Amino acid sequence: MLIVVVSLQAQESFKPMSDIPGFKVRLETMSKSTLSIACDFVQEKNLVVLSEKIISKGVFFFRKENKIRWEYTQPYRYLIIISNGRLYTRDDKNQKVYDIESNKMFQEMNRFISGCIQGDILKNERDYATEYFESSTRYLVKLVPREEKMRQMLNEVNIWFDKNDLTVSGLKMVESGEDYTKIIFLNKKLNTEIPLEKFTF
Amino acid sequence: MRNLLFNILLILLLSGCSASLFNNYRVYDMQAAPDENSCSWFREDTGRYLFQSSIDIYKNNFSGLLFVKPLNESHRILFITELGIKIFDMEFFRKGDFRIHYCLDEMNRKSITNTLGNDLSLMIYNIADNGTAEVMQERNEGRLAIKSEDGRGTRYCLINKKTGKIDELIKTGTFAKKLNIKFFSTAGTAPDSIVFTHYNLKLNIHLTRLDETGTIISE
Repeated sequence: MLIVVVSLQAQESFKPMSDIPGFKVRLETMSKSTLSIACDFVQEKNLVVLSEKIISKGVFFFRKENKIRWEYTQPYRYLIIISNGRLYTRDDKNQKVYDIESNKMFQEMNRFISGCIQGDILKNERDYATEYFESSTRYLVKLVPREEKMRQMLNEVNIWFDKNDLTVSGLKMVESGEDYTKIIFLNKKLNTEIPLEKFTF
Repeated sequence: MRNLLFNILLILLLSGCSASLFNNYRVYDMQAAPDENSCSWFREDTGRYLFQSSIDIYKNNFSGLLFVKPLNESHRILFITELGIKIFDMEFFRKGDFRIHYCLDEMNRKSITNTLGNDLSLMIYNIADNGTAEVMQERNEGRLAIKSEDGRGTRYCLINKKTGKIDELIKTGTFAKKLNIKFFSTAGTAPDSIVFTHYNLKLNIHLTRLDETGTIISE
């Protein structure tokens, strides 16, 4: 039996980041030199009021420019591919293709996902108020959407970066009612050859 | 005279409707009937369930996860996308009423939330909680059917002989069938899938229960 044993609650103490410009420069360099990312992920949906968690896991692929494959494998199968301005989703029963440009919500979603993975979201100071922290092993950036409508859905976003290679190690999206979704990225492989077929549908 | 004819026609139509649904049933001794909520798949002690869900409303399809949790005196149901975004959060009570704790703006239309709320309430609380339950039994198969009135129509709950759990719920309005909910279970311990079919609305729901044993978390 496959049992995923992970600890998503690692205790870590964070203090305000000492060198924010330095961090931004390193992140920019890393983002430019990253042509692809392949990793596993574990997603924890936390229903705070009900003291319940829903855990799901899968695999993630990114290839420049803007090609994303986000695939849930347990306990359900669900696939999202973003490629060539289109968003494709598939579950056991349905598959759908959307033109990203035709839908503002998909544009936001696309910008948000690729922005988080590449760190570009930190440049978007118009839409998010940003705070920077660090621990001995990781950087943490907290983003609060400025727009009221966005805040109804997403109160705060936390992004953790590994200090070693500046890759994203975790993502937490806090909803308005305290519920949150935390995604941990594991077994990251940078700049490996990811076949284009992974992004075709 | 015309009114009389119309009334006779109406009575024939109405009695014909229920007779055609249950012409193989006879009224059964109420004392031997199962207690009102024992046939439900969703009881206080059944724990949480997670379903992969597909909701078809007119030409739109919404997919996501439906999370059902029993509380002390109610049930909480959340619909979230696979990515974790919450679409709605509702709480259901034994009397058939429900409270909306959250609903995403795009879906927050009274006609949608009311229909979804009523459907999900029937999935949990199958028999109307107002003392109108009447029990019938199939002549050949011996399956029980519990009939109850909820003010907006009649509910027929067909009970599986082996499991004592509900197989099918049929909701009728004044003239015709409105909704059918089918519960499928292989092991007889939990519903594997649940299918909602509306007859006068383009709304269908399909739920498939997810096995979460592969994603146990240890802290």
